[in-house]
Amino acid sequence: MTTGQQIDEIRERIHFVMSTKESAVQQTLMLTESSLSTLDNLKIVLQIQTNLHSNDEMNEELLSQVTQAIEAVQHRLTEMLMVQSYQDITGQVLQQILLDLQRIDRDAQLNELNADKSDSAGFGPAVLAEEKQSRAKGQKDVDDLLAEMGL
Amino acid sequence: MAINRDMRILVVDDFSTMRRIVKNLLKELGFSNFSEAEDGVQAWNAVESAGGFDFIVSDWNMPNMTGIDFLRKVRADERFKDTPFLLITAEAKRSQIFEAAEAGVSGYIVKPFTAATLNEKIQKIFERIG
Repeated sequence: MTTGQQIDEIRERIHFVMSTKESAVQQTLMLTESSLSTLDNLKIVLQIQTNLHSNDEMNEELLSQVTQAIEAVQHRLTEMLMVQSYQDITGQVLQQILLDLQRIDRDAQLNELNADKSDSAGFGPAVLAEEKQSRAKGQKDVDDLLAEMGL
Repeated sequence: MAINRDMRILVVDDFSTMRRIVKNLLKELGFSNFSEAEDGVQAWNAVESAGGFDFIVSDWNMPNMTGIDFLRKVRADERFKDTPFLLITAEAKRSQIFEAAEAGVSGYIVKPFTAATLNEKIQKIFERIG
């Protein structure tokens, strides 16, 4: 198998991983969004019940507790949505690998990997230890850097 | 000053999943008036045709026009230059953070992030502009 053929095979495998991940994430998003919407509707029904029975203290307290529980579940569902952003971050890493492969394919020389890249074009998430050194270590580090600049 | 929950927000990301996630997070924070764009070019067209937005949330790494170039374009236009602009990005190189600050970014969030971080940055941005 030639280097070009091997690279094509790697590329195909990466595309498979990307599309499988994408489809799983889309399904998770769809189910989570529809659950959030069902809970929104339930909250409206509860609000109507609360208004109808505003003289019944016990009933009112129960409805308030149920509403709070629904909001807690909604918050956790939103956090679950948030976790799906891994798809974006890992997708950017895989895209970078595809670009690197393209470069290897074209130049057939590993050291071409370090060809000049403009900062403005973006790099994606820091993955390699060497990359991590020149990068902010997290939101707090970013906040500290911006604070130094008066932001 | 209380933040206007009806403000018009433009969410810019080339990745539709990320736009959905950001919109859902903003919804949880009480916002509901969203427009979307897939890259800086589409975002700039949206800004021009809508006559501006009250708040822009943008990714950095996008095709056609990056988030940082879109930010510069917004800041360079007299009509839109004061729009609060939040970058949410995986780009965490120190030089890039400085570049964004110099270009006039209002807030900078690195992915992955939490709903609490987004809320905190939005509060901070709107407190600052009062």
